[in-house]
Amino acid sequence: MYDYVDGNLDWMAAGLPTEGTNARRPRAGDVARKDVPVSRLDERLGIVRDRVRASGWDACVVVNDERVVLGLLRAKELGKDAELRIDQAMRPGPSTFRPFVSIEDMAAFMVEHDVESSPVTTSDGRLVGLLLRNDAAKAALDPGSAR
Amino acid sequence: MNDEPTTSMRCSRCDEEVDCCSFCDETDCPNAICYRCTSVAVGQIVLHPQPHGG
Repeated sequence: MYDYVDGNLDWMAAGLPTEGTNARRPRAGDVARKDVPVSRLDERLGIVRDRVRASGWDACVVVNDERVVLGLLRAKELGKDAELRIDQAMRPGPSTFRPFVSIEDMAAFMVEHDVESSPVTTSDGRLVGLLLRNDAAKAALDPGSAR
Repeated sequence: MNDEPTTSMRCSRCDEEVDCCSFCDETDCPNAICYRCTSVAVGQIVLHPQPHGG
């Protein structure tokens, strides 16, 4: 018999419901902003920047047609030359995290590494949302505020 | 041949050599951490002490 333990992680990584004491604690997928703007590789940075800022954001996730994360545009990348294509301006292959990761762990790491935002994805790389450091820190301090 | 000295970073937890920090993707992170240590720390990898599960 083979005990496929990773199946549990895949279950949680897909954002499916869990049971037990820890299930009531907020996780990265609960706190990540689902309304984060997205862009495609072949768009121009200036157009994307205008769209992102008009929606009140200073970050944008680059995805393909299946919403698989390909890159990330934080404030620094959004400030580059407007004529660049997104694939020339983006931070390629950013580190991503699964929705089940504890918000306390994410908050601690984001503060320690001075990271303003981190993409949250499923196991196969599809975008769940963008976790903002302030949101993560707030939810870690007050778990009740996240749900 | 490139004689320029290369600067190497090491994981702050296991001392493994890394090209960039696995959490923030920066090449000058003072708290650099490797992919494996990051994954274990946030629970994305579960270490299996016995491959047959006990």
